[in-house]
Amino acid sequence: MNNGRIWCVVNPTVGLPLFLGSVALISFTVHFAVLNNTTWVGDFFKGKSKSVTKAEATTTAPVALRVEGGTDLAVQVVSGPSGAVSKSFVITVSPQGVASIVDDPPARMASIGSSEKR
Amino acid sequence: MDSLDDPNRVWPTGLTIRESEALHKHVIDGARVFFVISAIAHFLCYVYSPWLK
Repeated sequence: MNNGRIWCVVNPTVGLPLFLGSVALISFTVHFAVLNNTTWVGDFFKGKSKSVTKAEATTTAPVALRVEGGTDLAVQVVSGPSGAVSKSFVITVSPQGVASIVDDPPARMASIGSSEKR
Repeated sequence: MDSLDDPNRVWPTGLTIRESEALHKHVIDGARVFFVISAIAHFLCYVYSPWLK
């Protein structure tokens, strides 16, 4: 057997843990890098299915409305929490602070989210 | 007989050539099993995940 005599000169109590540890470390490093550089591994670990991930990737373009006084409203449908069937709306009012829907003046966005309102 | 090929020689690690080769056989067999399992796992990952797609 090739290199079968290696354990005559390398102590197995040192060489075997070193070898197995190196394999484990390299494997962990590569998989951790994949986890950090993709979205779907993390989604899988969180329990998301491939189809849900794909559905979330398809975003709906916002609908822009212009109302009187030069105020623009942009309505965008966003996905609800993971696994939820419901959708939410985000209404962006611009310029800031001209519409009564904005409760908090510094906030540019008023979010109206509900599972029933579509 | 050359001492390097002496089957009764006890080497510095305390093993003979035969013992060393017997141990090495287990190491190689374990590596083969590991390779087969990981190859199957990578194939399943390729089929059922967005990997490389």
